Formats: sequence, structure tokens, C-alpha cells
Amino acid sequence: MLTLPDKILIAGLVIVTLASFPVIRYFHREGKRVVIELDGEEVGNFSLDEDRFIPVEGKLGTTRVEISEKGVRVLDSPCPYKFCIKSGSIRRSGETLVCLPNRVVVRITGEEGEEVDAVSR
Amino acid sequence: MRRIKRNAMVSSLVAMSIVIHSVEMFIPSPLPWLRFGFANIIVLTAIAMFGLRVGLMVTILRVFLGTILMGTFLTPAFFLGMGGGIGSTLVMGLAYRKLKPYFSLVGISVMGAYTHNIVQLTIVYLLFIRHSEVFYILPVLLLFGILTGILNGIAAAYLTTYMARFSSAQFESTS
Repeated sequence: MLTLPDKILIAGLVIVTLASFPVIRYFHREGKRVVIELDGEEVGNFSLDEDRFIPVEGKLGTTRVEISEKGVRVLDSPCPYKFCIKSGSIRRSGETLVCLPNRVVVRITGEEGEEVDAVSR
Repeated sequence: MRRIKRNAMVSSLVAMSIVIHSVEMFIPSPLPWLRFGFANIIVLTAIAMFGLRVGLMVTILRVFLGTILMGTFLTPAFFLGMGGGIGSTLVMGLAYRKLKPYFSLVGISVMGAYTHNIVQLTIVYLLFIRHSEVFYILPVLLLFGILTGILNGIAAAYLTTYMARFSSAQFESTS
């Protein structure tokens, strides 16, 4: 049933697809800045390289955010379900930690104006 | 008479693709975009029997009627289905027309599956999730797409010979 061009096509596509894994990973650079938003407004902007603790005063109480080893995580939060804590640590550009009850969003961005990376062009 | 027969065939192809597509929604999947795309079997059969125009018709009608039935008309599912469907049908129809001596339905099906994934993810990126992170998932979808493309192509090859054997009419390509 399969012709020779079929086999070449399938093998070629499999190789191209497998090769694209590292390429996409390469272009997907690590994030640079940590943006903290409260009720949709930016209340903090920190470098991802410097380790620090950031207390954020939200609607319910204090959400404690930690930047360490080029990653961000929520250490402690007054919200009922603790999804933000369970989300663990984020490190790549575009990733977010959200605590809806406390209205806190922690977002990682790349360099200025770098919403689109080379893969999508 | 031949025209009536042909219309009946095309309508039943549309009906089959809607049923297959709807039933497929109930197959659980680990990722929201990981689907078998069994409806593609019908589109391939339509292309092989009647040409690109009928293939496009089956795809467009399937998305319209299917989403109206499932209650997802004009939701993201509609635009994704339409974009991916039309893209892959165009590629498969043109490939069938121009490259038939070289590729079997399996190869053509794989081309369609590949196109489908790329078009859909591009639509997701352009319309819904404006984050380049969506392309992270593309290689996974493409690999899976190659596999399902092969399966669908084999099924379409069987279905095409079966339907040709069981219909006395001589089908000529309308495109």
C-alpha cells in the first residue's frame, strides 16, 4: 500500500519534527523579569536573577512570593485552595502564577517588548 | 440519474463525517488538541472519489453542521475546525490531483494531518492565545499527527476501494 515516496515523506516529516524539539526549546529562552500584578495593576517588577522574598498585600492578606535560583514561586497565601502554591516554581517567559482570591498575578516576561519569539515568525 | 446518485453519495459522506467527528469527541485524550481526526478518512475518500471541490464541501458542511449539533458554533472549536479542515483539505486535494502517481492515500493523509496541526496551532496563536508558548506543543502534535495520518490513510484506502466496488456508477472527478 505504501509507495516509496510515501515512506520518504513520512521518514522526512518524522526527522524534521524530532529535530524541531531542540530548536523550539532553544528559541524558548528563560524569562528575565518577574512582574507582580494586584487587581490587574502592576505593583512590582523584579529581576529573575536576584533571589528575594516579596510580600504582596492582597485582598485577603499577604501572599509571599519567592524568587530563587532563577525561578519564582508562591510560598504562602491566604487563599482557600492554594492553587498558586501548588503551581510550583515557574521560570520561563510567559508563565504565570495566579491567586484569584487574593487578586495576585505573578508573571514572567522576557526582555522589553519581547512577546513574540523567533519560532512564530 | 448519475447526478442524483452522486448527490446522495456526497450527502452520506457529509453525514458520516459528522457522526465520526462527534463520536470522536468522546474519546478521552491527554491533551486538548490531541485528536485522531477520523473524519479525515471521509474527506480523503471524498477527494479520491469526487475531487477537491467535493472534499472541501464535505469539510465545510461537516464543520458547520457538526458545530451546530454540538453547540460549539462560532466558538473557538468552530474556527479551529474550519481553518484546520480547509487547510488540510486543500493540501490533500491538490496533492491528490498533482502527485497521485507518486503518493498513495497514506502519504496524502499524512500531508493533510501535518497541515491540519500547523494551521490549527497558528489559529490558536493568532486568535486565542497570543503567547509563543503555544508552539511548544507543536512537535508533539505533529508526531502524533503523522501516526494518525498513516492510520487514517490506510482506512481511507480501504473505504475508497470498498465504496467504488459497491457503487455501480462510474465516478468522474468534478474538479
